[in-house]
Amino acid sequence: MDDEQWDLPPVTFRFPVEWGKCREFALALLDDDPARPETDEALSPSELPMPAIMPTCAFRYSPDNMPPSARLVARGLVDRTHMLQGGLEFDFHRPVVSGEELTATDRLVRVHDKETAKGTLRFLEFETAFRSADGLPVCTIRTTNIERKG
Amino acid sequence: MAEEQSAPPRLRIEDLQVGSSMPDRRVGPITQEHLIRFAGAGGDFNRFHYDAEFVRSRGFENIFAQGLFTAGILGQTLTSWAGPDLLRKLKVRFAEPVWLGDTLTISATVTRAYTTEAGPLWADLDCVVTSSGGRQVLTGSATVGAAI
Repeated sequence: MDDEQWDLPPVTFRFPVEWGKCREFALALLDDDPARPETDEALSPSELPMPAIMPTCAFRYSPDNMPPSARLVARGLVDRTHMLQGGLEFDFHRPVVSGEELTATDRLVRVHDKETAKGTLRFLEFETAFRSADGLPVCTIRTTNIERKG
Repeated sequence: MAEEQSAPPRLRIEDLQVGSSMPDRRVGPITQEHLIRFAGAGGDFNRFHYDAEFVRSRGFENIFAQGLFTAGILGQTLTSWAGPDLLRKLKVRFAEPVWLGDTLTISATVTRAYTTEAGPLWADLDCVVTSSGGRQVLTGSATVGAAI
């Protein structure tokens, strides 16, 4: 494996936490409608809690509108048809509500191969770190994609 | 859309102890409408989640749900129970596909309860999403805890 080919620069972009997107996500995840006023008395009518997995769609606000793994596909480094999502890990440093604007930074943190009885599996580990307007960490997501190399 | 679901009652974190469980939540049966609605929200229009002919051409028996859909339902269930301000960590591993028609049961059990500098009590939970026939489709862990 040529290490230099995996030396991708981090991508940083704005991630506005939109009220409508929070509501759309909650409803798509079969939650009660979060816009009902009785749902959370601590929030104002203009605020909705950000669903936990919503930051995974932050790539829609990135310059190239693609998740980190797709950048590798676009460079011909990974075959999407042989790639599976292995796992996800979220760290929440504090809750986020609609109306905030976060800064997201995507980066590829590790690539390693594992030999198995069915062939080589390549593990691609990505991290997206979200910070508030004052630069403090808000949320970190680590994603593992697995590519079957045959 | 025939749908079976129930939200668990809100957590009192001071009541948590090892062995405590979040009330199980049942969701389903999962329909094509669910997956399309989630694709629109999240932007994942992979054909495995709506194009039956394509899916079968790739050797799968049926359309299956986005992994994030299942992870998201777990996340929403945890935050409905604990409150969005108490979820600190969530880790998931996708074990098996969720097929159209599956009904999911979302469960979580406390494995460790402890105090930290950040709050009066935090708790680690083992999480599992079980599908029709008892298949574990997602396993994971979560941490809930009050802020200072």
